[in-house]
Amino acid sequence: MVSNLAKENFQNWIASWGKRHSSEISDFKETVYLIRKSPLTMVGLAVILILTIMAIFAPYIAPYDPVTMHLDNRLASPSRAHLLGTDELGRDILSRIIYGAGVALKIVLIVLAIDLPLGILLGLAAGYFGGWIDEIIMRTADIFMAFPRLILAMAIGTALGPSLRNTMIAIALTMWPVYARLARGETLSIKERTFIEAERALGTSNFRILVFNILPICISTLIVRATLDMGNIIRIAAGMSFLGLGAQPPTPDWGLMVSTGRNFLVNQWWVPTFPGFAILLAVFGFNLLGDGIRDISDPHLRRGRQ
Amino acid sequence: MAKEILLEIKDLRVNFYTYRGVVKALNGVNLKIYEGEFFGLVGETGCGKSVTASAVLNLVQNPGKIEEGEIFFKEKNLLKMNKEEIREKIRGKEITMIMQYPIAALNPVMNNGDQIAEALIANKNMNESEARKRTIKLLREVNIPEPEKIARQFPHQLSGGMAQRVMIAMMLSTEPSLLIADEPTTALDVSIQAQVLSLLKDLISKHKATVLLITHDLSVVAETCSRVGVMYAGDMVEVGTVDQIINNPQHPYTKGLIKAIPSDQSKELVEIRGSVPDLVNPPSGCRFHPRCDYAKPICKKEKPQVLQVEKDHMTACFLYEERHDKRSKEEYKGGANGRADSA
Repeated sequence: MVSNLAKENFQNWIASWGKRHSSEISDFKETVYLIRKSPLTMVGLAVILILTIMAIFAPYIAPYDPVTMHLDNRLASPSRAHLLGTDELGRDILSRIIYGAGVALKIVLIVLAIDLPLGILLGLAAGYFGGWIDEIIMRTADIFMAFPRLILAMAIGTALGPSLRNTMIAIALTMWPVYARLARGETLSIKERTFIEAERALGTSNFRILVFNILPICISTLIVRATLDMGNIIRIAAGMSFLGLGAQPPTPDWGLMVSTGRNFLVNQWWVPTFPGFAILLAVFGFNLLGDGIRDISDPHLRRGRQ
Repeated sequence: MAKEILLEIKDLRVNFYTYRGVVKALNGVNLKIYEGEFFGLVGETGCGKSVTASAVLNLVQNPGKIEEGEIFFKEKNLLKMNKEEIREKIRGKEITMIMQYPIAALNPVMNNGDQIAEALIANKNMNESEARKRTIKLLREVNIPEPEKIARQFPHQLSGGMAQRVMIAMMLSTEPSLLIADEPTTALDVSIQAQVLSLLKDLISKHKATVLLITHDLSVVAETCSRVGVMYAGDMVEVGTVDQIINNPQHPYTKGLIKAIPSDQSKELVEIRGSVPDLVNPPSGCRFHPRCDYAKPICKKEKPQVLQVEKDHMTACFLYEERHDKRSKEEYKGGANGRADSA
């Protein structure tokens, strides 16, 4: 009896879920509709999805091990056994590209996981409190932004010593000022708005105002910026690996593959070309998706929610 | 009125330090608000009504600065409290404020219910489910139909009147003893204005709160308030009951304001000549003297003292000072007929 009642309650709860969340559902549907309407976003999304699947399921998809050498089969041209050929140590290039997706995505995610919170924290503090806190944070940011990003990342990478981990730290250190500035700008404009004044009149603490009132509004801008930056991160990481500052052999990193393969460009073109294409496609995909997300999150494009 | 004084402002001076110079926004304002009353503060735009309100909450924004004066709330000097203390004990708990544009005063990315619940959780230490139940109750109290639905909606989906009700619910949620309403009906159309005002009146008597209503609309004051203060260019020029202010204004500025209300009898629209002075260089003496029809030489030199013209009725004008000295001098027409003797 009791369990029946509980079951019925649960069923009602499930059944009413759609009704209770109707506005969220229709919003989600609209988002899907807007993505489908924009072919370029779809292409970007597809590329990123393929990349993600490659990264997660690499051991199951890749036909060969990415690091085992087969010196008897060096520099084999593309064939049915090795679709994209083999490199100077006889490793299957397709497998290395598939494993390389994981390396690239890992760099992107870790750099953003450092920079988004850091940028938000510093930007909110600078914008909200102003005064000397603002001066210290923003002048530090200015110093970081005074150097070209790749050059600064290289300098930091060299100082820390070449490795994948240090590359991520170096890139993260060059990117945070962008997010801090963005968060600060948003905070400056939001904090002057009437509802913040109303919150103050209610005696809300600075912490609550920052976390519950300012952060939710500026986070969307930052996320759009972050998606647009994902391509950049891959590009810089590849550049650093190419210069020998990033991933070290035998890591299947795309930049590294282009770097070691460039000696064979004339006679065995497939060795550097395919990893290069992989970089191109990944950056392209992230940029398309970033643009798409920016357009979709534009409130002028969306209909009013009812 | 033998009631207790809830809020007393003594000689409050607020300056704004701007590029153009020091704006002397409040020039020694005195004000007493008794417990349980509905006090109206009227005046033109820029006369310092809102600055007075934000000074009470110690929320005068940069570049403004409270120069001197005292604000006693329940016999505690708010200006002597430190920032944390005033935030934790006064704002939201004892004094809350309703803003002019309700839709702008609600967080656009938080739904209406969450905003009220948020105020309850932060100020009343309620847990979430308690706060939610209370929210629905509050929304029902401010006459919102389908409170469950409205609680799930966002501020942009509300009309101005609805948003103002949500705002009122939010500001009354913490059961404050003083509610400052800063032009609560300016952004609303007339019929909604009346609804919101009567709702406010009902709720106030129910919650036993006191209201400081800031407005530039004398009809709003006439409808709702028990006592009125008239401000001009940073000075409190006249304080009295609604009846006294509307039917028997004493200060030339108040008289001008009352005359300027369009009526059926007069075809002409009467105005107060001149315009609001620049508060960077305010007129010397009485700040109203350049626009005053009754100005005398002394008005240029000295600031008039606040005088009692009758019971509960004060004004700051030399007309009455003289009358007070020499008794019933009828030289200045339109004044009270010898009422000045009770002081």
